[in-house]
Amino acid sequence: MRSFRLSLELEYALIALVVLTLVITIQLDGTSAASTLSVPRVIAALLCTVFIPGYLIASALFPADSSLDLPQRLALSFVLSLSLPPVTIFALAALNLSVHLETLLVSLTVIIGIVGAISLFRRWLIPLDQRFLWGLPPIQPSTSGRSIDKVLWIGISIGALLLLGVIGAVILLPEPNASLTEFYILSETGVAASYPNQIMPGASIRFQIVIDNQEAQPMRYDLEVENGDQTIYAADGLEVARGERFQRTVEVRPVDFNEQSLLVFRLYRSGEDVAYRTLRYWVRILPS
Amino acid sequence: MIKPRPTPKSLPISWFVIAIIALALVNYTYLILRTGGALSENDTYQLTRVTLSAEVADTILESPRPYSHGMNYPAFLLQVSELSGLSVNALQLVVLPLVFALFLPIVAFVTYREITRSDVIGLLATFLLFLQPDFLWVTWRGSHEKITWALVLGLFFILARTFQLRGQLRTMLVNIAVFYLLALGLINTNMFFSSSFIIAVVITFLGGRVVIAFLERRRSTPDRPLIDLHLQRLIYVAAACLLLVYVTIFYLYPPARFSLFNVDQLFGRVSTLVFNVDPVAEPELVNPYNYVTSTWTSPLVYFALTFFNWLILGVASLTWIVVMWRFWRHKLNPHQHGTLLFLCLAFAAFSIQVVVSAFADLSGSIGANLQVRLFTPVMMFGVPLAAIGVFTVVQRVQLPTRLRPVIVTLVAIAFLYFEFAALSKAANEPLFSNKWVFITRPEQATATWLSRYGISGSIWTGVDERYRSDLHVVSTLLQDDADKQMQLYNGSSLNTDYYVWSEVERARWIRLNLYMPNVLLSSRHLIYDNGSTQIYRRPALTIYQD
Repeated sequence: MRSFRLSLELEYALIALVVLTLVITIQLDGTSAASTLSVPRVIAALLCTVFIPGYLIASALFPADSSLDLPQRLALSFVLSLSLPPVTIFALAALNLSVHLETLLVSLTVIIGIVGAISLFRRWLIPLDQRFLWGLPPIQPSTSGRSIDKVLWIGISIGALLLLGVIGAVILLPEPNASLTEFYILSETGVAASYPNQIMPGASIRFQIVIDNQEAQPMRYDLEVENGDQTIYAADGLEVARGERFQRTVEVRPVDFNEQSLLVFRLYRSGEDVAYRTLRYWVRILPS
Repeated sequence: MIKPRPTPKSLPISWFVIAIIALALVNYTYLILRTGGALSENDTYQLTRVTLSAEVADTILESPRPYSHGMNYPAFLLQVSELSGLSVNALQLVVLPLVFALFLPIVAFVTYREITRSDVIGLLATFLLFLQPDFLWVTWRGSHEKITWALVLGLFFILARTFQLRGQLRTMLVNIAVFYLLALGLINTNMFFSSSFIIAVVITFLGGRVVIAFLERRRSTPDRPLIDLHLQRLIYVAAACLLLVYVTIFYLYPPARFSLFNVDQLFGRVSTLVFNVDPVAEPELVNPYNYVTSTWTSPLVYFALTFFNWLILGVASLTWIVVMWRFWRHKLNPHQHGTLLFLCLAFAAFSIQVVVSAFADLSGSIGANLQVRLFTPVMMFGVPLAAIGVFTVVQRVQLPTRLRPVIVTLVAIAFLYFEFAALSKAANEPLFSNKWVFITRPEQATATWLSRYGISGSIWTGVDERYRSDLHVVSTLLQDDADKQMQLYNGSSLNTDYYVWSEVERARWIRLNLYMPNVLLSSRHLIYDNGSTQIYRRPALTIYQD
């Protein structure tokens, strides 16, 4: 016996509302309202894929209250929903339709519509007192004196607190590894290949030097290129806004004429003496 | 042993189910947070890539990169992703584990309750299931196993439900319809697992015939136990499911056929169907029994983390022996305890598959990892048996009142330990495991960078597939891997165009006592640095190399 029961009309109106929410939020995708509607869309999409189709099938097959209890109905709703995607895919393939948002939305709406109509009809045929209806159980007299209740409440409370704790941590804690500056060199053509590998003594070579600021704040960098204990290129006070990229083609002329000459690219945070990022490049100096 | 008895009205079953859902949510949330929402392992990336590929191609059945074992999970992922607007990665790594945490405990509870005919044992079994590390692992990661095990539980719920029916044709037909809809879903989720599941059903049928014939040999009355009639039905169930598998492989989902025929010999093909094995190119190189020593810091740590598994298996086996003994001594009879007999037969059937597959593994004739794949169903049927054993003991032992606080404290400590062990094992906790399954944000940044600026060539990605998995997903997301066709290498293949080296990888090499590739890397160009991860490139050795 339940103290509150949801009428059949209201239940199906709620299901229709969920489907309508999904359709409307998808139609509004790309508009200014899309970001506001993203949460209702996700909830409606999850309900329409992991619960509602299976629930309606279970309701059509087991319309009477006595045939399934609530946990059984919830479980069947879930597993039946999980077994439907192949049916949708085979149906779309049979109709020579491709699989994308529109066809998936239409097929899901059609399935929910058809199975919903059948389940509504079957449940409507069942006498009211035997029909499955959603409801809340009557409030039981307090049994708070029993130790099992205390243990259970403590357990659930600890679980709820833990869950709230981890959700809170996700929201409140800063993003891990927030300080990320990418420093790299590309060849003149802008790829990580085809670098110049050998030059004549006194000749120059060109690189694209890129600083990508993924830090939590705007950054100011100093850049140096060293060769044979000498600084052969320097650029100070490079301002890079958060999320922005500094990219410059740099021409350097090695002064160390050993067969294998090492170019060292150092990036400093302005005002610091220790290099923040370091790159190195071996260039072969041909005999003159 | 177990006696079906009404649950006391004072026992708040719904609240207990909610408590188990809360436990599952806490477990999965912890696992998501522990890896920073960046799980990087083979099955997750495979299925993410398959789904992204289907999304680009607008087709599942003719996708250029199909999942040959079944399309239900990619189709489900694609459907949820398209409709919700969430990325496949976000669904795989964060959203779906939490959605399944809400529903899986309910599915497990109704199944175990139906099989054991007891609310309390159903609850206890569900609780134990969510302390089982391997079950947590396979239902957390982005693998088809989330759906597979939910559907297996659903199928056994329907089977156990029909075992109560006698002569109610209409109700039976409705249940049969549900059963085959779920079976179709399972077959399309992973048809090779489904076929091994069907083999287990056949073994259950054969075992049931033998056991019941033995138990009923002295009975003169003509009425056969109801369970015998239903066990007979299992052979029709197996035949119908095999037909569905055949139709799916050969007519509905062609990629499965190609996968099956990729296995060279008839023996291999049959093994693929019977044991749900992934054929490997060089099975002699794979020894799953090195798993413990290579994956965990020590065998003792592995044993400590999986102690719960062995405990459950031990208690379940003991319960199985006691139950079968009592059947044999006619203290239990199949007329009244049909579902209990079915549970014992199913547990035995999956156990037989594990034992046979272990021999097949050792022979190296089929592939690898058979026993690991089949371990989950054994545990799923071991858990209710263990719950029956524990419940029976608790009922029979009358503890003095003064000892109860001590027992409650011990149980609470055991729970906390098993919870810690389950989460540590499922997360492949880096403190204990050498097999790390997460990727850091700086490493992800290099994967994006390589996909954007790297050209066709080979990349060395570390000691195993950890980084490689993420690079695959990133390059699929950027939709340019087909043009670049990068070759990814890990392990000892150091002769590549690019090398990715990170602090995490360095820590792993230290843990594994490997020689650092410092000499090799010092002669390479260091072309990218983000602080904790670097990319090196080999120098051109001739003027013709770029």
